[in-house]
Amino acid sequence: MNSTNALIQVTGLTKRYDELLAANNLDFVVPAGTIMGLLGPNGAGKTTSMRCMAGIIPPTAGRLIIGGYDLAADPMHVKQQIAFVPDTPHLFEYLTVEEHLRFAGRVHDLPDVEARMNRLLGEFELEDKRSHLPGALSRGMQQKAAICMAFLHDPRVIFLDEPLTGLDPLGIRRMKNSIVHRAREQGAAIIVSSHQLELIEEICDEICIIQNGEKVISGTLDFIHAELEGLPDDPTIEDIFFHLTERPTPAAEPN
Amino acid sequence: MLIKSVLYYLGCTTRNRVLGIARRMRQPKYLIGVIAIVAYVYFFFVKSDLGDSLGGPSEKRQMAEAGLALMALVQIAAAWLVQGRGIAFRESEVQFLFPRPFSRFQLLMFKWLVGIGAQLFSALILALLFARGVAFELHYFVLGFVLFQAVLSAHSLLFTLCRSQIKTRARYLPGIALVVSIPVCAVFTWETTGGATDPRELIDFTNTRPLSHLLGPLKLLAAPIVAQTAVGFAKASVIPLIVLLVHLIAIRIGNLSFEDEALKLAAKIQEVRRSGLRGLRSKKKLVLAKPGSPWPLAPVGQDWIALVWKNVISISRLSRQTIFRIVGAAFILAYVVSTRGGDLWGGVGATRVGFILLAVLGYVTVLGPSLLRVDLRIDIPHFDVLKSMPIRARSLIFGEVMGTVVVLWFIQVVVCVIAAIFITQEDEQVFGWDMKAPLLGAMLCFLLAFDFLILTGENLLALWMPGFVRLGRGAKPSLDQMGPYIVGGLAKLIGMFILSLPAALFGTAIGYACHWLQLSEVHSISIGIVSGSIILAWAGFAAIQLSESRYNRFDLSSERATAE
Repeated sequence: MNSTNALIQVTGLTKRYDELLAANNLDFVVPAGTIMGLLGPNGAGKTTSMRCMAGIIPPTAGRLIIGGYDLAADPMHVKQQIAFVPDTPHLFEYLTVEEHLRFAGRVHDLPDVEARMNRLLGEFELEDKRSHLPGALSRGMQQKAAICMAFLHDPRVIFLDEPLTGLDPLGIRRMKNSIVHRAREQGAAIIVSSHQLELIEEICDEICIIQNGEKVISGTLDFIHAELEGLPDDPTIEDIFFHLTERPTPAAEPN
Repeated sequence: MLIKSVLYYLGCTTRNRVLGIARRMRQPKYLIGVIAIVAYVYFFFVKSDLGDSLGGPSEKRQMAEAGLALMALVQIAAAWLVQGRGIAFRESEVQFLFPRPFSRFQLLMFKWLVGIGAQLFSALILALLFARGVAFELHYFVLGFVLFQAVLSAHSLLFTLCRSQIKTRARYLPGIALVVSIPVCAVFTWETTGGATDPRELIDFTNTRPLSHLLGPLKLLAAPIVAQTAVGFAKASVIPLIVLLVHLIAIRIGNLSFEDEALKLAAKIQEVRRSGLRGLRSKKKLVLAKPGSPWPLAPVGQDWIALVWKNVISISRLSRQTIFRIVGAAFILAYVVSTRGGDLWGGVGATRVGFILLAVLGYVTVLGPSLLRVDLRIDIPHFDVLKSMPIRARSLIFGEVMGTVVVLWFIQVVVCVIAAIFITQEDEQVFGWDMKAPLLGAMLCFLLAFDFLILTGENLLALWMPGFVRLGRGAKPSLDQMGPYIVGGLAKLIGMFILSLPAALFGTAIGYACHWLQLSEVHSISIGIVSGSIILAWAGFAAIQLSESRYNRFDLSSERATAE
């Protein structure tokens, strides 16, 4: 794998909560224009790993080079380039959808925030929800608003934790198109964590399966197929996932 | 099957809650709160001479009967007015009980019996608190109280079921009529008796018409509680038992539908638990016709201004009820203090109003930081998004704090200036602008610095000790959270003392130095206050800077995991 154009380089990522090892010595690389699916059973350490990569929590050990900058040494440069969409959208209770985007625009110093905002609100069908407070939005619309906020500054690195939760079929299709567009056209490196294996299979170029905080395997489907024995002839991600993870495991994430 | 289910549910719930509390007590922060509460109850209720001045045992029992009848009246009025008494099922109960093979009556009885279980607990606590002082027989008190509450809740349930069949606003008329009749009867009775200034006169007061018409039947319900013998208890229980039976039969025979209303209520309860009383707001009000902001946010500039902008908007959209509550409480307290203060407050007319405004200012300053919780304390659940944004820790904390500071200070400036205009003369002392202007300026400087420091303290406490303060919105936590809050409050007080001590010393020294340099008293004080305020603000900035690494390491999920 060519790491010269890698936008995400994770080396030895470890996160420990007292006795609990949520992520253990993870290594992977995501080049520009690549979508990587992060898979694992509940409590495998997916969210914790993504939160470390997004600079939300410091890792216990390991080196994270995101967008060409070392996260530990230069977090502000890294954060200028990334976006993180959590699994549960926590919007600000008293800010309208439009105000959320203005706020995000100001934080990222975007002089053309109006144009970007209008484009995104149109793309995610939130134009008529501009003046709505989050309490008036459904779960899916809140998710869309959170995604608009994240995509506003055209991030080069995107972390999406269960991005399709609560979206309707049309919203799911738009979201998928949007993710693929950002990788293919804009050259973003994207990590998507999801339990919807068909989504991962459809849009991801590579997958990384983790369990109990440890990487089980990573690479393209073909690579993994070649590496593993005992799989059907034309294996799906579901086949690979169950082949690798089907055994009782203790929880590894604190939340 | 129903009784078994209820007993199983109550047994498991009680056991798990008790075990949970016992497990928490291993941590000192919870233990301290329990010790504080037990000590308070012991010294205030058990050890005190509470009730000794209320006369002999017979008088006390009559008073208790009258008090309980009044309590029943209030409960009935609430049931007649407030929607859904008796059918306020929780979301979990709706999901797991409604699809089960229970009849309507069984579902209602489940809820009713669970309520009785809770009343038994209340009765035991009340018995512990009051039985000694008010000369009750403990076991009759407990049994009588449970019977009393059982009748009242059965009545509430029946009334709710009947009322839910009426879809027009007329369903509120009986409640309104009852609520109006209570003060009317009280006023007429007051006219007749000349009032009840002594607690013991309450007996005559409640026995006089027309109030006795309202309370008489309810005293019969309370009679078992004050019974002294087994025979007395049995006799007194006959009427409440008959009333209870009649209600239950009516509920059984009526078989009135309640499911739709119960579902709506369950959703509301869930919403209130999640986001506090704001959960009761209509969805329509969450769509803003003109989402005005105090100032347009420029697309580029300092990060912290964006946070101030966000928080000022949020405060301006806080529930009007909250704002009315804060202002109303401040005015009432200020008025009471000013009228009871007598000579201390002095002055008449405009000056008196000015002093009342200063008292309001005091309450706003003290209560404001705790009530206007639109800062880090609310935004900690949003940390994943905020921390992934390119905002430096110090900018984020400063911006979060300054939003509330700006609003609070704006209110204080308005109140201060109006108070200064009103305060003109007290006795012989005339307050001219040559005196008021420097003090007003110094006061405003001090308030800005003080608000900043207090709110910084509140926010940093949430950052450093998240298990010791209330974070986010939603229903207030249970009593066992008192311990951590007491510890948190104590830590805040100590922190504030340490941070403000240098400012106080420095300000005082500067003030004395100015006086020594022959400056007037007013100017010396003003300069001292301004100097102290600068140090106060500096202490706040220093505290924020010292907390930067804590912010970077902060992870609420691990904090919670560690705390539990």
